[in-house]
Amino acid sequence: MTAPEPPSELEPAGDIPEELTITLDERRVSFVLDEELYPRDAIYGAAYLFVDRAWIFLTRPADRQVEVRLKPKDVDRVERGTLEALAGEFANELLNQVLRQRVGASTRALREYTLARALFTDDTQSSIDALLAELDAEELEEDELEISVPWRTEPTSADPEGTGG
Amino acid sequence: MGEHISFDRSLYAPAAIESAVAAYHHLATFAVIVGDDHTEVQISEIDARVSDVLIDAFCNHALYETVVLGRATEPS
Repeated sequence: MTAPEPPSELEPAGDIPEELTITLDERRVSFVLDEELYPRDAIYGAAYLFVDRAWIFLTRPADRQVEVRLKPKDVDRVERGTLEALAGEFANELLNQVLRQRVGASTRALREYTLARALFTDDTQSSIDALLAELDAEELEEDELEISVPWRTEPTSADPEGTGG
Repeated sequence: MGEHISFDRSLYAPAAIESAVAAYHHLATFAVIVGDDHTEVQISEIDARVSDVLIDAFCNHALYETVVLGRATEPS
């Protein structure tokens, strides 16, 4: 049995963003993220999507830094390419999460305004009132097609009591 | 003799770790100490059937619960 190779640091390659330097060991890949670039919620969001694919552990090597350690699940023999691919996919998802957060933050005011207007404006209530008034008006109108009700039938010579039968 | 894991409190909610302990308590013995900066977990008497994955699964569970708890408490 050969001794495990010491951890090696890789230059960014493939899908891995340039500011990430990944570290590989026998079964695990790790990299350090700057919380200024990758907010914690973005890291959580990416990790949340990877918990079914990888064993994940987070540490804080320094202030405002988060180290992500990934170990693939269900892989008997971990190859270097597998670890690099896993790190690259995580990094891509991380960028996706950062973008989602930024879009969410930049449109928050607009979304809140739209929701508030939808919930609290009088337009909705007035349109409902208009519909109800329209329905009431229709009910009050004479409707020739309305099914006749026997007890409302006017008395005739054939039916002097107006029973309708 | 056992395994020791140190969870940074700024990354793992202590309540999430307690939840993970509750989920795995039948497979190992856990001792949890919540400090100012870290939550220390000592794991011993690990069930032999899951000894190769229990620690990793425990950490994943704690992280998952941290994310879920955070989303539940953040303002909508």
